[in-house]
Amino acid sequence: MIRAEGTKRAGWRQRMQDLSARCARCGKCQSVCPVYDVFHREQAVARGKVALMKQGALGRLPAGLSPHRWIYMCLKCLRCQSTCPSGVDFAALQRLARSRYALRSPVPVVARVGARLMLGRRWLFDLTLRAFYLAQKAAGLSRLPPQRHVILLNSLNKAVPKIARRTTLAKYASRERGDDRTVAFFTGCLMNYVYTDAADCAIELIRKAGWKVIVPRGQVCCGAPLASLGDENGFRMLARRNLEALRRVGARYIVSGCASCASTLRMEYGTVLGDEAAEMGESVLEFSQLLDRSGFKPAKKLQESVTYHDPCHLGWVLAEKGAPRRLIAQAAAMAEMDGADLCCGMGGVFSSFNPAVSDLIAEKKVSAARRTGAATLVTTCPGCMMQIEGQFLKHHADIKVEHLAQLLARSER
Amino acid sequence: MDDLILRLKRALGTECVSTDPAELVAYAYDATGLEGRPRAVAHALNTRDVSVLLALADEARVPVYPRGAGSGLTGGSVPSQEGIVLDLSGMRRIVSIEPENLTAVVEPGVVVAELQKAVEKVGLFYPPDPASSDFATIGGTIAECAGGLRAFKYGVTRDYVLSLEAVLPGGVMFRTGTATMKNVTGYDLTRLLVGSEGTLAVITQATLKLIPLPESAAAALAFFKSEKEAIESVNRIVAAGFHPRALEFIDKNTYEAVYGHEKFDYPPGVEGTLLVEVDGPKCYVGGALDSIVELLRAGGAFKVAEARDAPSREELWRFRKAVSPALLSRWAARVNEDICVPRSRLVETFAALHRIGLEQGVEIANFGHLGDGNIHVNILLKTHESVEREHAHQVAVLIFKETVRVGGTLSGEHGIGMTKAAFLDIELSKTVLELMRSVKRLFDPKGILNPGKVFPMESRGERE
Repeated sequence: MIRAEGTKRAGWRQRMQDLSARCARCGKCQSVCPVYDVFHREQAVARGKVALMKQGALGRLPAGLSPHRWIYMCLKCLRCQSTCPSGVDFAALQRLARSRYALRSPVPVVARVGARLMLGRRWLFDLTLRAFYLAQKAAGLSRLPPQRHVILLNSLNKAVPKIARRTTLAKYASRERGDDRTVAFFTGCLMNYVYTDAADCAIELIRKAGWKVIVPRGQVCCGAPLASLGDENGFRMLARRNLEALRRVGARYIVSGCASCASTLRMEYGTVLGDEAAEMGESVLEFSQLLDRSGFKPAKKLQESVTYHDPCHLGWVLAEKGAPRRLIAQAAAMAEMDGADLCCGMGGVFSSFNPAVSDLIAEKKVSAARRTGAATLVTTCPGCMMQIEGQFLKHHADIKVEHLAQLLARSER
Repeated sequence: MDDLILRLKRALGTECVSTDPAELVAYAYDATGLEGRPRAVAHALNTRDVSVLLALADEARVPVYPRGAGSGLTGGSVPSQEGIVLDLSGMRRIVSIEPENLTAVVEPGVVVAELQKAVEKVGLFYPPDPASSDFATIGGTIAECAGGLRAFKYGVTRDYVLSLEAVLPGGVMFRTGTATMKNVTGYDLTRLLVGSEGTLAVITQATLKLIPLPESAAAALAFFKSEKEAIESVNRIVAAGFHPRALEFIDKNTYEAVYGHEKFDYPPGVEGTLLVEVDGPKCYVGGALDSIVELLRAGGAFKVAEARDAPSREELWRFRKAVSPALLSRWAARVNEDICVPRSRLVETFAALHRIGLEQGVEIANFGHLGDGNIHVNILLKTHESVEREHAHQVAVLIFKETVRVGGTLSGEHGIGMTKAAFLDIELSKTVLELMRSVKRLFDPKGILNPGKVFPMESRGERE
């Protein structure tokens, strides 16, 4: 028993060592890291975190909570990984470190346990969000513009858009099988419960682009929040369930309107589930990529000035900056903002646990968007939408936030 | 030591002096792989902080290691013994840009690329452009006298430093030079500090020379079936009266690594490539590139890719910039030297490099700034094992000796730091070494500033 435990430990240590040995320590991650930009401390940037993990692999991580606080001080925007000349898999290192040092994590255990309970059980997730919907309705909040966050109690810097009456999955989910002209649509949590209008628009547009859309029943959260909370087993469990639900369809592409879900499905499932998942990953596209590749043309060009925010997981991780811009240029007047590809500061659970840092990162986005004079900010990630809506609200910036699908749908009408 | 740290915390504020164990791990290294954990990290925000720190550390005789981005390639900012890392990346204000004087005043923590962007907005140009310019700091590039990709036409960092504000061990602040194009009043201490690797004084502000931004640029990437022809084309271009801003060479080993690493639409079976970039007024650049392409073809290039607009130029540079990652993806590690020889001796030097590689049974990949005679010699390692690395260092010594024989130098732009300190006497005479040591003692009598760098190890003994 003791020996078995020992070999297991050697296993993850070896993996951590192998992954961290790739870092050539050039320092290039400093030039793209939003967190380093705030702290200007080496342990805030990937190179410093990898150095800590390297110590961890040798069993020499300094005692105390500080190393763990710094390892978690990361948006997981993966801009560092996207720009790394040596190909360090920082996403895998973060997952490994967070799951291995779960007990010393700065994230409360209750958050991790709660997230696993809810994200793994669709009925419970549905029920909880239904309760919030009703609470919002009773409080009369649903008639107001986006509110300060009431769900994630510790993140008062976020706006909570109203919870939808009917979820996207309730509306579309089916067990249909598809073929070579079919797209399997992955909703993700925010487009299922909150931005259902954006999901409607996305599905309608994919159909217009000549595809049959199936929204597979049985899909769950992509798992990224669990990975961020250090629950590697939970992440693997959700990944496996999605893999099953999505593969069964036999569609040509798997498409998500959420840049983060798309990048998780495409880039990370392979690392936890192996070849089968890696193979499926190759058929994953983000919404704008599919439309762009299908030669979609909007019906008319709106007389409206629009600016675009690159979600890190699309612009950097999936290295797609062209497709959304080409689509926007045909649908409206594009007003490029300075630093369009700078992070918005959301980082999933990051902004919940580090609201002050998140705010500092977001400030640049707000002022850059303001300077364009655009009436609407468009992006393709509901996480970014939630963050930017909240920041606009906080800074009294009168700019509407829309999913690209919503803009394109308006130009179709 | 603990007493000093306490006093530093009191003087600079607890948030600026850290003993957080996580932080000490993160400030133990640079880009070499060398490590030395400091006892504390001090983050200076202004000249006063630096002055106070150097006064206290000098009094307590505790070593101080100045650090910018920690992107150096010779261990220049790595603690060699117990001491304090002085992080200057927090001093990152561009104080002023003066188009009338063609100067910029900056703090040492300003990132090179940020300065370049800022001056280019007003039509000016800061030419020094090391491959690390996206993250390296001005202070670090001055301390190491960084070169880079445009040095053939524009020179290196030292050619753009007019005046420095610096602090001596003991805390006394001083200024060298003036913000003028000419100055022969007294010894040129500015140039002495440039490239001194943080061993003489800590730079706290720099006045830099700028030039008008060239109107346009164009580039050509030429492929040769013979390495010698590629190298000789460099001299051919220079002899024809052209002054390209970049003349970059990639050898066969490097090319094959890049070829296997990323998708480029370039031919196989290449023994050498040359990337040439010219800049200047629009009316000049197009014609110049035509002539250079002509020269390259006449010199034996069987294919030449031309780039006359920014996006296609970027594509050619993407190829050049893929070199280091490509080598590291193919090989476990590398020992990266940056010898520099007179241009006329390049062919001879390359022949010697091949001979040494063959005799010693090591693979070597050579690339670099051939216009400057600056070759990045990469001795490639199959494993991370220390035996192999040890052997590579022995090979490097042979290469150094050959370099000095043809009138070249150990380091063109990376500096000596810790990695090459032991080999200094291959190039420098006893007299010169003693002069340098005397200079060091004059600036830093107690030897607290970046000890263990530049000079061979015995200088540490002298300190005691």
